[in-house]
Amino acid sequence: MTCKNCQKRLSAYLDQESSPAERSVIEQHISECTDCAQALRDLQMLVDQATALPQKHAPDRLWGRIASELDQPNVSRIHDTVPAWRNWLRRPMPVVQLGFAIAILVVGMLVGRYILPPQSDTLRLQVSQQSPAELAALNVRASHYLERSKMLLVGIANLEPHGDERIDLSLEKAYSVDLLREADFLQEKLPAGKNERLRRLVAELELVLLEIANLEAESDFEHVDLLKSGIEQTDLLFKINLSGLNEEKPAKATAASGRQL
Amino acid sequence: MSIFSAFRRSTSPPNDNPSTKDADQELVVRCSSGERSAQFQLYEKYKDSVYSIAFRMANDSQVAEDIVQDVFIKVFKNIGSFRGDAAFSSWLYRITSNVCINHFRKAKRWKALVSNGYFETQTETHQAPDAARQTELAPHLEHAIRQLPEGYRMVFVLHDVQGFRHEEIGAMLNIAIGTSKSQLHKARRELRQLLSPILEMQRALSH
Ligand SMILES: [Zn+2]
Repeated sequence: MTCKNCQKRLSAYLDQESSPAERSVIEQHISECTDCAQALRDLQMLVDQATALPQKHAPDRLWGRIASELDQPNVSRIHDTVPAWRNWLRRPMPVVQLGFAIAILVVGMLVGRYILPPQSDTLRLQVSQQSPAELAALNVRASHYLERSKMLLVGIANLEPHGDERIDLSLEKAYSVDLLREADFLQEKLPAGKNERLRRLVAELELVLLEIANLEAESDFEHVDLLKSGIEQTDLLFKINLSGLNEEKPAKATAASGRQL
Repeated sequence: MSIFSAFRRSTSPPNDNPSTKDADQELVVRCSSGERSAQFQLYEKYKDSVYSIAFRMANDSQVAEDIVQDVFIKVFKNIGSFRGDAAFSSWLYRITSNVCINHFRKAKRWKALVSNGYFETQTETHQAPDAARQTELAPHLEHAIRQLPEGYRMVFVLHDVQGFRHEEIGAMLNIAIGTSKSQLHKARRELRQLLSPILEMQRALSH
């Protein structure tokens, strides 16, 4: 077992989620590797410290604010209480189709943001040196970028506009712009000659992202159809799936869509 | 190595043990007829844990207060639709996490995401711990939690800080239990990364 693999599994090991086989491999490795043993102690301490963080106390004035708002007659907004992206599914046709696509997109974005490291200057500084560890981090970041792009493309591939409906694509556009920035960064930092397929894929994706970013905020179905067939023809989703960088399990939303290939 | 795997769960949020559930149920019934003192009792019971979640998710205490207010307004206005087949607390925390998520979606509206403001915050709670407390981990940990991407942060705060189980978190966030677990593991790894300078300093000092 490599240290990288071991450290990836330590948190699950702590929570006793590892299989017996995995467990004994980890324990074997840790008994011989001071780095990973240290990593395990660190994690355990972090978890202990997190558990011991004190409860925060809501300020006393808050109840007054709540009570006075309750006193004001108001329409109840029951829909706000269901999970946000589920709301989309409750809308009437034909928005349901679009809603589903956007639900996937939103979940994708959330998942994407779960796994995307903060874009801090520190990170940029780190990768400019490009030690092996930093290269590895860059690869992870590239795979996150691909995963998030996939979510976006799956969301668009699932759009099923009807007739002359206008479709609000502002979310997709904004998301594309964000991904384009990430693409820029990756193209700048990914070393040439190391992983040409990845570099090509990032560049190819960039074109489609640009197309999405340049859509009008409200597009008609012809635009969307064009975009969809563009995605299909370039086989981008297939290539992303093949890229072999997807260390993460596919997100629930992707699996549920069942259409990405 | 078994000492590491002896895992703990010492604190837990106000939850759905039977007596709590009954007491809540009674309060819920009284709340649904608009009884203010029952509303106050429910509020008193859960305000701190709701506030703690909001506080660690939001980047400042003002926003956290807004979230708490929003949560309890929603709870009391919609309490008639609460079926009572699940624990009141599960319903409450689902609303809490939902309000947090909605809050971020609204506040940022993806524009901030585009304009590079995503991970920047500018409030008192976001400041690094002062020098006098350099070697104490807790303030650094609070600081680092706020640097986690929101999704990770939510699962980490709910699980490790607030003591919810993955089953509960899955229901709250409407995600698979496996997703909750993997987000948690990623969050912890990232936290260790973020805190590595502090951890190293602590080690150096303790030798
Ligand atoms: Zn190792």
